[in-house]
Amino acid sequence: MEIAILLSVGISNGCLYGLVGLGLVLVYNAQGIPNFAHGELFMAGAFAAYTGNVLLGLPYGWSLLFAVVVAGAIGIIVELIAIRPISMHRSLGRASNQVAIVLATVGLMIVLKGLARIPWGDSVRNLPPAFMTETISIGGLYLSTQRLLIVAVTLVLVVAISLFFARTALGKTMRATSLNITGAKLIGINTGHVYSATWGLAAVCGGIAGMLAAPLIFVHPDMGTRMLLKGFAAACLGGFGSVSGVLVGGILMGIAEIFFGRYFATSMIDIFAPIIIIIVLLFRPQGLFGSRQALRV
Amino acid sequence: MKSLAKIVATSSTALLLSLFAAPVAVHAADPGVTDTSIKIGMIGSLTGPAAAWGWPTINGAKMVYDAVNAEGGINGRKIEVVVEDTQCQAPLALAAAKKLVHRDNVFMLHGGSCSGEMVPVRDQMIADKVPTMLLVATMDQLVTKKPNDYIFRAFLPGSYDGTVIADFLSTVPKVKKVVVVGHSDEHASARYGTLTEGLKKHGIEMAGLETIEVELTDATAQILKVKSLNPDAVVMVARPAPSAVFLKDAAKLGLNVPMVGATVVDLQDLINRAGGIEPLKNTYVVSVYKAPLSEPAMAPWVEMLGKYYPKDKVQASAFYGTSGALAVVEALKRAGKDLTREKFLKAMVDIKNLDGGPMACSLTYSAGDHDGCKTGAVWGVRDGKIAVFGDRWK
Amino acid sequence: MHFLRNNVFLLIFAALLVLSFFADAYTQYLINLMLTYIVIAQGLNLILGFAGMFAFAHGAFMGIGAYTSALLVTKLNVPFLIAMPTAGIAAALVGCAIGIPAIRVSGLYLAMVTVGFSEILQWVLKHWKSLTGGPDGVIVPAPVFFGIEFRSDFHTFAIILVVTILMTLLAQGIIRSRLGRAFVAIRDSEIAAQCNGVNVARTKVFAFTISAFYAGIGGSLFSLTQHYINPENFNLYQTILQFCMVIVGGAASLVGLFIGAAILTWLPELLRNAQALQEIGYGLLLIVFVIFLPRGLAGFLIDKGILPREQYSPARFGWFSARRRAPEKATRS
Repeated sequence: MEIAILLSVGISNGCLYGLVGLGLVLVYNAQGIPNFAHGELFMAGAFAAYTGNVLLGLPYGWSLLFAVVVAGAIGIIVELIAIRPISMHRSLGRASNQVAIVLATVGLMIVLKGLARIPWGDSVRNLPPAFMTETISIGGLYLSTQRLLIVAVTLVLVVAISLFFARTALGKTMRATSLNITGAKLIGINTGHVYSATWGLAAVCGGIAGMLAAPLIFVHPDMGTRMLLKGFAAACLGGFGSVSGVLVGGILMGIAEIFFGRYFATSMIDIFAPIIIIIVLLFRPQGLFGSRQALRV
Repeated sequence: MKSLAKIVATSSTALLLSLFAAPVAVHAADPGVTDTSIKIGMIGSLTGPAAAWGWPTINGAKMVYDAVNAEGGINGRKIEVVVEDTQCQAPLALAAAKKLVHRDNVFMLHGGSCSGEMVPVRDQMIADKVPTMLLVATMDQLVTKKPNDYIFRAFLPGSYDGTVIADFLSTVPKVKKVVVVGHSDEHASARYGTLTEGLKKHGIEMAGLETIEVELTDATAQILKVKSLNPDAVVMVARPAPSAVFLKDAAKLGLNVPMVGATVVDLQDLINRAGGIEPLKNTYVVSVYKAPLSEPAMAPWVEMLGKYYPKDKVQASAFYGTSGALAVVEALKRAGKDLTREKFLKAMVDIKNLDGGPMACSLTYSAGDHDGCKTGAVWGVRDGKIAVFGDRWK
Repeated sequence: MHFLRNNVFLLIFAALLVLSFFADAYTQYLINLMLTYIVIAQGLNLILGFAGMFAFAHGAFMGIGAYTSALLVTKLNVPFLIAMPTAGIAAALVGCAIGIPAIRVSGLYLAMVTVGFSEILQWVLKHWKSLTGGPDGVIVPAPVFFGIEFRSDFHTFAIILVVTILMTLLAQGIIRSRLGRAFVAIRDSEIAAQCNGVNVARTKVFAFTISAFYAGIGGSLFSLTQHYINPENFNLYQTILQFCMVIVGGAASLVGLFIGAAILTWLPELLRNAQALQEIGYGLLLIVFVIFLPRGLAGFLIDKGILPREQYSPARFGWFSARRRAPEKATRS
C-alpha cells in the first residue's frame, strides 16, 4: 500500500522532472549550453496560470492556454534579446560563445526571479487544482487527480514532441541545425528562427510543467531553482540525446528520490539530485539512453 | 552598441571613483539625539527569500513610533527611523548595521529578521556600545551569551518555544512517543535543544527527527516515514509554507495524530493556507499573541496598523515587532529629557511587567536577563473556531 | 604618466593604505570585503578567464577554506598565521580531488557537476553539526599578533591587505609562467594545445587546484571580516556574485578584478534605497556586460589607453575579440 503511494507520487514527480529536463535538452541540443534560466520558465508558467485563473478570472482551461502562450512568448523574447546577440558575435567560435551564453542565462535566471518578486514576493500563492474531485479511488488506492493529469499530459506531450521532430518540417529543420549548424545554414535554413523555435518549445515544456505542478506546490518566485537541478538530473540520467530518454530518466529519478527519502534519510532528499548528477556524469556521462558523443574537446 | 558600452563603462568608472568618500562624523553628546529628534536604525530582510519577515514586521514596530510621534514625541523629541535591508544575510546585515551606526549616527538599533544574520551584528553592537532591540531573531545566544549589556529582546526566544511545546504535550492524554519534523536551519535548531530536553523530562520518547526543507513541495516520503514510526503526536518546527504542505499531505495520507507547531507559524495563517479548518482540527500552535487577530483584545493594534500602514496585510507577522517598540518607547520616556545611551540602558533593565501589547507575555527585564518575554500560549481548534488553550490541553 | 600606467597595482594598494587612515568603520569594512573578494575572484579568474573552464564550485571552495580556518582556530587553537595557509591547502586538495574526475567531461557537464558539488557541500555544512556547528555557524575570534588582538576593521584591513598583495604577486607570477601560457592555450583550443605538447589533463587539474587555493585563502579572510561564518554565506549565489565580478571587471585581466570587485561590493551599498531592483540589477549587469562589454571594464579601459595592456589581456586572447582578423571569418559561419 505504501509502495503504491510512493510510486504514484514518484512517477508524477518524475514526469515533472522529465518535462523540465526536456526543456533543458532541447536548448542544449540546439545551442550546446545548459540553460540556467529554465527553472524560472517553470516558475513563469505557474505564475501565468495563477494570473490567468485567479487574477484575471479566466476559466481554468483558458488560463492554462494563456500560460502556455505566455511561457512560449517569454522563451522566444529571451532568445531574441539576450541569446541571439551573443551567438552572433564573430569570435573564437562555438566554445567561447557558449561560455557567454551560459552566463547570460545565469543573469536571466536572476532577473526573472527578481521580476517575479516585485508583485509576488511577499508570500506564496495557491492555484486551485484542475478537477473538482481531488482524489479518486482505484482499487482501494487513493490517487490524486492532479497527479494523474500530470502523467497523462506528460505522456501526450512527449509523444507529440517526438512526432514533431520526426515528421514535421520544422522539427526536422531543428534536428538538422543541431547536428551541423554550418551545414544547416548552407542549405538555407534560417538558424535564427530555429533558435527562437527551440527556446519557445523549451519554455513551453517548462511552463506546462509549472502550471501542472502549481496546484500541488505553492506558487512563489523561488520555486524554479529547485526544479532546475532536478531537471538537470533527469536529463543527465536519461541522456541528452533522446526525448523519450529524458522522460524515462525523469521518472526513474522521481521514483528513486522518493524511495530514497522514505527509506534512507529524509534529510537527504534535497541533495539526491546533485548526487545523481555527479554519479551519472562520472560513471556514465551519456546517461542511460544517450549516445556516446565526443564529450572531450 | 559601442556608445552604450562607452556610457556604461565611463559611468561605472566615475561611480567607482566617487565611492570612497568618507565623511567625518561629528558627534553630539550622544549620537542620534538632538533637541528635537531621536534617530533609531532598523534592519531587516526587506528583500530576498525571507522578505515576509521584513517590512511587515518592521512596520508593526514603526507604527508604534509613528503613534508616539503623533502624540508629540518623547520629551519633545520625535522618533526618526532609518531602515536598511539585510536580505537575511550576515555580511549585508553587518554592513547595514555599520552604516547606521557610523554614517547615520543612530542612537540605537532595532532590528533583525533572521537569527543567523544577527550573530555578527550583535557582537559588533556590543563592541560599539550601541543599544539594540532585536526584532524577530529568536536564537537564544544572541541575548543570553555574556557579556551582554546592550542587546534586548521582546519576543519569545526559541528555547522557550521548545519548552512550551514539551510541557503542552505532557498534558495531552496518551502521548508517549513523539516524532519531530523540521528544518535544518538555525531557526529550527534554536528549538530542538530545549524541545528534546523537555520531552525527556516528561518521559516522552522522541522517536525521530525528520527533515523538511523550506522549499518543501511534497511531504509524502516524510509522512510515510513518520507513520512508520507510529508516534502519538508530531511536532512541526517549520515555517508557514512547508508546514501547510505537511499538514495537507498528512490529512491525505491518514496521519491523524495531534500536531504541534512552533511560534514560527500562526494558526489562522495555516488555516488560510490549507484552505479550510478541516486539516487543522487536530493541530495546536504555540502563539506569542494574546488572542487571534480578529478578537477585541487585538483590535487596538489592528487599528493602529490600519491607520499608519493601510496597505499592509493584517497577518501574523505584522505584529511581531510591536512589543519591542513598546519597550523602547517606555525606556526612552523613563530616561528623561537628558537622554544618553547609558540612561536608556538603565531604564530598559528597570522595566517590569510592562504590557506586551499584542503579545501574550508582559515584559520584564533585569540587569542579568535581557529577554523580556517568556510566555506564549498554545492555540488549537475547538468547535470549528480557534481557541486559546493556554499551556494545558483541554 | 607612464609610471602611473605601469604600476597600477602599486597605486591601488598605496591608495587603499592611505584611505584607511581616514575611513570610518563602515567604509573600512566594505574595503575589507572588497579585498577579500578580489583574492577569491583571482582564483576564479585563473580558471574561468585564463583557462576557460566553467567551474561553478568556487563558492564551495571558499566555504571549505573559511570553515577549515575557523574550525582550526576555534577547536584546535591553531594560530591564524598557520590556519589560513592550511585553509588554502585544504581547499586546493579538494579542488584537485574534484578536478581529476571532472576533467573527463567538459562544458555543460563540468558546469553541472560543479553545481552539484556546491549543493552537496552546502548540505554537509548544514547537517554535520558536530563538526561545523550546523546552521548556527561558527564565531571566529580575532587573531592575536604580538599580544594585540586584531579586532577592529582597521586591524583586519592590515592582515587582508598583506595577503592580497601576496596573492596578487603570485597570480602575476603564475600568468607569466609556463603554466599560465598553458592555461591560455587550452582555453583557446584544446586540440592545438595538446598538439603543442601541453599536458591538457594535468593543466586542467592544476587550474582547479590553484583556483581552489585562492578561494580557500579568500574564505579564510572572509571569516575575519565578520568574525562569523554560516553555511548560507557559501551557496550558489556567492559563486554567481564572483562570476559577476570577473565578468564586469574583465575576464583574464588582473586589474579588471579590482574594478569588478569594487563595483560589486559598493554598488549594492549605494543602491540600498532601491531594494527591489537589487536582485534584478545583478542579473542585468551580467547580461549587459556579457552582450555589450564582453571584455569587461578592464577591456574597455585598456582600449582607451587608460590602463596598460596586460599579458594575455582580453584584447589579444580574450573570448570575444571583436577585432580578430580575417582568417577566422573565412572558416567560421
